[in-house]
Amino acid sequence: MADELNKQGVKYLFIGKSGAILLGYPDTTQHVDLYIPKDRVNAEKLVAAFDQANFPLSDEARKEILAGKDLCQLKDGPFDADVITQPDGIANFETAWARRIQEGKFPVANLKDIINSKKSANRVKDREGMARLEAFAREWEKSHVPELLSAHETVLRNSAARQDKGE
Amino acid sequence: MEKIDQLIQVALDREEADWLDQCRRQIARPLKDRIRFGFVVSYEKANSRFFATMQEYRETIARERPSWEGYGKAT
Repeated sequence: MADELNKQGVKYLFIGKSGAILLGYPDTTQHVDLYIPKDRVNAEKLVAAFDQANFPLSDEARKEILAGKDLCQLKDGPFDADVITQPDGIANFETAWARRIQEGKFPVANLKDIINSKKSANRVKDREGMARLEAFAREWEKSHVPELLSAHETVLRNSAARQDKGE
Repeated sequence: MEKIDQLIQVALDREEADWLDQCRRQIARPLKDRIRFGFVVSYEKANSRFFATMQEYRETIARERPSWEGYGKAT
């Protein structure tokens, strides 16, 4: 599924507990939360990716995803998926995308956004698990400290990256 | 009473340390193992549903789900 989403060039982020689990949060979930921008072209690519991955979509699901509903809960596929365009506590998709965490082939919302979203939703279940999620985020940050580079090393790396892009 | 408070604090510290250990172990695991351990298949029979707004979703959940599941707003 992730391969098809990437192949179609879908802009999306894992959010919620499913995003945290991809980053190593020790818990379980029965569905994935996919955050997409309210964008018709992107929604068309998402539907095409579902089709290519043989994830069955009813006509109604297709219509509602393309219409940009705030929340589409898909229950007919090999796994349950919530497609969300307006998660609580996240200002807009572009901001969340800019600070995403790439975990293998999966783009995951930053843990700060996942936490803010759950705080903003303020459900009983979110509040109960908040201390554990925040402790996990602190532990994750400790093990993902950005590499310290000298100015010279930074210039060399940036230059190599530009060459790789053919600039 | 002071002794009981101390014992409770020791238990809480121990619980937190255990949780952080668990976090460290899971972060260190390969992504495929995190997926294997973290995602479970739901056998709940339910239909796909669509909500125009998150407010509509919250109202539906509040109406349909029992409070003990914790989907309602915390007060």
